[in-house]
Amino acid sequence: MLKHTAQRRYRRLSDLVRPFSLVLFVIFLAACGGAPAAPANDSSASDSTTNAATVSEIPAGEPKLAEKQELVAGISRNLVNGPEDWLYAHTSLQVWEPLVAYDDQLRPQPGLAESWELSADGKVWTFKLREGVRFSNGDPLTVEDVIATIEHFRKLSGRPSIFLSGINFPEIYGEPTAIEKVDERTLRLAYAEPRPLLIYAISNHYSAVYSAKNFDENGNFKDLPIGTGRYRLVDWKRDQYAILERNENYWGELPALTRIELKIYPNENSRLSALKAGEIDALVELGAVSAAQARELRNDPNFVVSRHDSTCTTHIAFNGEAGRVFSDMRLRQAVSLGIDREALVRDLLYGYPTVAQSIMIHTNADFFNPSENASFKYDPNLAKQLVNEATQGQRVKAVLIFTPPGEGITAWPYPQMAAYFQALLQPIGIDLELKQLESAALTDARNNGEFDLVLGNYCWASGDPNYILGRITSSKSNQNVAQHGGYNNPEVDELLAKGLVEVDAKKRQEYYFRIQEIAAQELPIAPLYDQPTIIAYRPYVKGLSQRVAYAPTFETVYIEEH
Amino acid sequence: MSLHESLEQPFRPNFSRTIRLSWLNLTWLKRYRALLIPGLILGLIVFAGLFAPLVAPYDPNAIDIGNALSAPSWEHWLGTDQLGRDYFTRVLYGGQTTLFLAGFSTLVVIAIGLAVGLISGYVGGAVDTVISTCLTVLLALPNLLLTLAILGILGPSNQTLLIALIGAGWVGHARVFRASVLSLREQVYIEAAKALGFSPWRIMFRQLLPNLLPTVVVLATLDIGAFLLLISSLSFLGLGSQPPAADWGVMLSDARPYFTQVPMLVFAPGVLITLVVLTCNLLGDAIRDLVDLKR
Repeated sequence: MLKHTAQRRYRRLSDLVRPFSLVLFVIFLAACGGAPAAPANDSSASDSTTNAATVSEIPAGEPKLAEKQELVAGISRNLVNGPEDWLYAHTSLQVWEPLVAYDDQLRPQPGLAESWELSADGKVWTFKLREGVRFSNGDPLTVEDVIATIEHFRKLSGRPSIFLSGINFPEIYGEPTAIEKVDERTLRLAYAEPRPLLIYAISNHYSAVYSAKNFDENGNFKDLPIGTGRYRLVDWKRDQYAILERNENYWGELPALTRIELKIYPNENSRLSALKAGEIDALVELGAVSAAQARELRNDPNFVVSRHDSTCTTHIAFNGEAGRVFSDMRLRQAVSLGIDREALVRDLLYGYPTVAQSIMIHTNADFFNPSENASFKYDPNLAKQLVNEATQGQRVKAVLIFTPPGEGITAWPYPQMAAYFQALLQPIGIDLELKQLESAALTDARNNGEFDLVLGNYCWASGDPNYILGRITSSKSNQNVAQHGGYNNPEVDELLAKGLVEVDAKKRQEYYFRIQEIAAQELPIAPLYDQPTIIAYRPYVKGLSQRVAYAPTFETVYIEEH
Repeated sequence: MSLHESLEQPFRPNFSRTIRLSWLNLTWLKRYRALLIPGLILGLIVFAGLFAPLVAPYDPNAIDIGNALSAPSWEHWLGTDQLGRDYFTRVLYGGQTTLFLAGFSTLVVIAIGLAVGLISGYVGGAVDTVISTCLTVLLALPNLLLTLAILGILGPSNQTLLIALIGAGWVGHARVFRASVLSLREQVYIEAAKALGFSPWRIMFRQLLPNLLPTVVVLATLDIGAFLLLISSLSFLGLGSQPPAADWGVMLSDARPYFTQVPMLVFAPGVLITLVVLTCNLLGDAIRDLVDLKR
C-alpha cells in the first residue's frame, strides 16, 4: 500500500513536470545565448552605420588584431545556387566582379571595366577593361571571358533562379547586333536601336564576369566558379553553408579576412539564437535581423546593430482584372490612403524601414522623383469617401494574402502587418479577409487570381528605371498579365518605350518622373516602405557594413582580439 | 424483474458505486477533495474561455498601434501586444480557441477509438486481424510526424489542425480500447448475455461500453492535456490559428521577439497552458483513483 502511494506520488510529479516543458522550451529559446560575450569596449550598441575601414587603415598596435582573421556569419538564405544557375553565386559572396558596378545611389561605377563610352547615336557601347586583373586560378582576364559570360547569360535567359528570378536577356541586354572584341582590352556592344540605359541595366549582377573556362557546352558551370573577386568559393551545401577563402590572386588590395564561413538559418529565431549563443560572429545580408529583433538587440552592449539601405521594397499589389473590386482605381486609392505608413514604420517596424515616397526606391538617385506628386498620403476620410463613391455605400469585401515571415526580402512580420491593415481599412469600409499562405501556395494563388490584395516585395537589380517600373506599370508585364495586376495605361506604356531609347538624360529623367507621378495617382501597386538591411554583430568584428548593392563589406572587415 | 433485467443490472457502469452518494453527508467532500482544486481552476479557465465575449473588456482585434507593447495597467490588465491589442482579451479569446480545439479533438478521437476498438475487440476473427494490423502499421508512424504531414498537405488553419490531430490521434486509443474489450469479453456476464441471445450490438453498447467508461474518462482527461500541448506546439510552429485570430501557442510564438522587454507576453499564455495541462492531469489521476476497482 505504501509502495502504491509512493508510485502515485511519483506519477503525479512527472505529470507536474511535463506541461512545463513547452513553456521552458520557449523561455530557453528566447533566453539562450545569455552566454557572456566579449567585453563591449569602445563600440556602443547604437544604430550607427559603421564606418568602413580599408585594410591599410587598420590602426597599428592597439587594439590588437586577432591572430586568425576569420569570420563566421549567419545569413538568412542560400547565396549559392549551383552549377545550373545562371549566376552560381550571389554578388554578396564577392566571388565574381561585375563589368559595371553601382554605388549606394545606384549610379554606375567602374568595375572590371575602368571606363565606357556610348556613341552619339546611342547605339554602340564600348568598354575598356581594367589592366592586370586575374582570375582566382591565376589566368588573366580577357575580353573573351566577358563575351563568354554574356553569351552564357543569353543561353540561360529565362531559366528560373533564386537570384533575381534569373535573367531575361532581352529585358536587360536588348537585342545586340554584335558583341565583339575590338582589341585586347576593348569590348563593343552594338545595337540597331539606341540603348542608352544599358549601363544602368547591366550594373552589378547582370554584368557578372566569369572565366570562360567555367562553362560547359550546355551553359552550365563545370565546377566551382572561377571569378575575379576577392574571395573564392571553396565549399557549399544548400540550406547549410557556403565557405569562402581569400583569393590570393586578387588584382587589388587583399582583404584582411582570409576565410569566411556563411551559415544559413532560414528561421529568424534560430538565426538570432545562433548569434546569441556565440555560434556565429555576425548576422549579415538581406533579411538578417528583423525589426523586432533589432529593437531587442540594440540595448544589449554585447552586440552592435546597424541598419543600411537596400534596393528592396515592400508593397501591396492588387488583383486589378476587370470585374474584380480593385479594377476600380478609387478603391486602390482608398487602400493606399487608408494605410498609415508612418505609423506602420514607426510603431510596428520600430523605425527601421523608410516610408515609401514613390513607386521608385528612394536610393535610386538618378531616377527617384522627390516631388510630392509622386508620393503617397494618409487620409482615411478621403479614403472612406472614395469607397462610398465607388460602391454607393456598400462595404467592400477583399481577400489579402501574404506569407509567414520568411528569408531574404520576405523576412518581415506580414501576419501582424495584415492584421494592422485589416484594422485600418475596416472603418473606411473595406473588410479584409486574411489568408496566410506558404510562398509556393501564394505564387499559385497569384497566378490563379485567387486574391484581391497581396503583400509583395521586389528588389531593384540595378538603377535601371525601366527594370521595376516596366515590371509594375507596363500593361504587358508578367505582373499585370499572368499575375492579374490588370494595370493598363497607354500613356505609361508609351513613356516606358520612349525612355528606353531616349539619349538625352534630362528628357529621359522626365519620362520616368512622369511615370512615378501617374503611378502615385493610379496605383498599379501601393508601395509601403523601402526595406533596410539590418545587421548585427559582436563588437570585436570591425569595419562591417552593408552595401545597397546587397553585399556585406567583407573586404573592410577585421577581427579584433577577443 | 425479468431475467434479462436482473442480468443487466450489475453491468451498469462501475461508476454507479461512486455515484450512489449520501449528498447530505459531507463525507463526499473528503472523498472528492483530490478533484476539488484542479476542478475549480480548470472550471474557471473554461468558464472564462466560454464567456470570453462577456468577460473580455475589449475587442480582441482592436488595434491601438500607438500604445503597443505597453506594460500591465488598470486599462490593460496584462498590457498590450505588438499591435496594441489588449492582451487580457486576447488571452481569453485565445483560450476559447485552444480549449475548443483540445476538447473537440479529444471527444472525436475517443469516439472513433471506441468504435474501432469495440468492433475489433468484440467481433474478433478476420475483422480484428485486419483492423489491428492497420493499427500496428499506423502506430509505427510517429504521431507528431503524421500530424505535420497532414497539415503540410492540407495547409494550416483551425479546421485542418483538427483533422490532423484526429487523424493521427485515434490510433492509440483504438488499440487501448480493443485490449480492454478483449479482456472484458471473456467475463462471465458477457457469456451469459451471449447465451441469452443478445445481439452483438446490444452486448457492445449495453454491456461492454459502460464497463469501458472508467478508462474513457481517464484517457479523456489526460488527452485534453496532451492535445493542448500538441496544439500549442503546432501553433507555435505557425500551423495553427491564422491571424488575426490567435490561440495560446500562436501568442507564445508571436511574443518571442519581445520576450526580454515584455515578459508578460510569454508568461500569460505559457502559464495558462501549464495550468490547464496540469489540472487535466491531476483530474485524470484523481478520477482514475476514484474509479479504480482494484483499490
